[in-house]
Amino acid sequence: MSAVISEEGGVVKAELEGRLDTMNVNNMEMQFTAGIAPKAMPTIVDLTKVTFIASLGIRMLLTTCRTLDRRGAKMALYGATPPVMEVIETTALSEIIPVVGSEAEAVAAVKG
Amino acid sequence: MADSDQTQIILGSNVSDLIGQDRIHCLEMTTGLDVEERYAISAVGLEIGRVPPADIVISDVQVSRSHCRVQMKDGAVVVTDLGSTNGTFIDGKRVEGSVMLPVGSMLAIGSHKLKHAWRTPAEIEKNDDFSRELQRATAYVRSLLPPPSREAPIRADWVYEPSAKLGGDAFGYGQLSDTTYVGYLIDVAGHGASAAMHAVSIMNNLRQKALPGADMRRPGEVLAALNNMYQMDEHAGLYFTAWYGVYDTEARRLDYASGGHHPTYLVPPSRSAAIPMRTRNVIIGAMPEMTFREASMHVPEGASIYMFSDGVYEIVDTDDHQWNLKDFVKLMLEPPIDGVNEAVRIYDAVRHRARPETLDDDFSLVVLTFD
Repeated sequence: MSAVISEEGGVVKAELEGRLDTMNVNNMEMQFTAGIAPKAMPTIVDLTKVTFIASLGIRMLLTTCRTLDRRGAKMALYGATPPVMEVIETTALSEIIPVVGSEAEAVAAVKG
Repeated sequence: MADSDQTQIILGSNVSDLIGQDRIHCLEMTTGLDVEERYAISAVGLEIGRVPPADIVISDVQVSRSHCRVQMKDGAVVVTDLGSTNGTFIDGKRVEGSVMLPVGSMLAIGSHKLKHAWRTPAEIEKNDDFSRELQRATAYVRSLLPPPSREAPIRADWVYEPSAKLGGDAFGYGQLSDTTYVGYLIDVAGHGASAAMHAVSIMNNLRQKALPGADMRRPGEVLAALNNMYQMDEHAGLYFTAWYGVYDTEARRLDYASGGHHPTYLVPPSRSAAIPMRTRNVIIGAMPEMTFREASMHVPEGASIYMFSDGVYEIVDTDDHQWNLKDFVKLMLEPPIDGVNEAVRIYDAVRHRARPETLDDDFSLVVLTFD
């Protein structure tokens, strides 16, 4: 599991790769949130290479989004694969965090 | 050399035999930040493998029968790969021959990780006290669950197997009024005492059969009340998913709502299909003042409903296939086994098919049958 966090054009981009299962989330949640939330910038999360997401993974995304929201910044998810999208749909996460198909749509969602 | 001489899982008073100085070199099998088990390292060493007589047995197809050895040599801990197929790794670097394992480094074997810790007996005792407390907490959660019922018109069976570190599952069912019967299952995200305490608090509120501003016969109102009571910002960042249903015994109608939860399934006596019952609502605690939609279903005579947590189906099977709901539904519809209650049949089948290390969440499954 890895997370690469970068900044471009006033947008923070987090690229996640691997399984967001309980063990991996426990190991990386703090770094992920700490790498994004303090910037208080529009943030997009690339899920293209995430193969599995457990409830703790949803919590990690939700917590980060809510922290950003309190600081006046938006967050969007994009590129979810079918198994990840199934979990996102089950939790109705898209009612809280925009979930879109492409990076361009995600940028538009957080800058809008 | 006898295996019993080589291995010692440190639990409480067993520690004293292995203390050379005031600290002990240990391997701690971890799940994230939690220690699952601790093994003391002596000069004799510990062999790690997939099957006995290895001292540390890891049932993982990626682990070789005789994988590696960890032992004390000249005051240092040394790892020797024993010709394993998939390799032994220290902090991500593959071990060739014998390599020192520094304190704090992580030994990776298959999908398992073991940390080299150098502990004082007091630290170990504290950790073991915590493990004992978790066991007591597990017993407490179990004591709050309703007993199985074989009595018509509604029979109930269940399996509750919490994860090693205790998770946040809880469920309940029973008569709500003369003509209504309730069933619910909640799943708090996360493991450990905090998730379990949260689940117990929610369950105790539901057991009172009274929530502020909610008619307990209206699933949408119940979930909305819980959502307002348990906002994650006010509860250490914890959220949960839930399914709640109320059965009208006269109309044979089941009203239900779910919050961020997968469906509960209705299976008719013919077992011809598993009909999903879910309403699309957000997870509970994520956003205040949400409305929770509900729906209804007719319950045929002899039909069963299956309520369960995600730990039941979020497994990787022995063919390395990540399961989803469809895989689980297929298993659900397999024929019952005479003399075996339905919840146990499914639990045994999942356990049989799952790679053991992927059964790392609470397993909660409730089957209610409506005569």
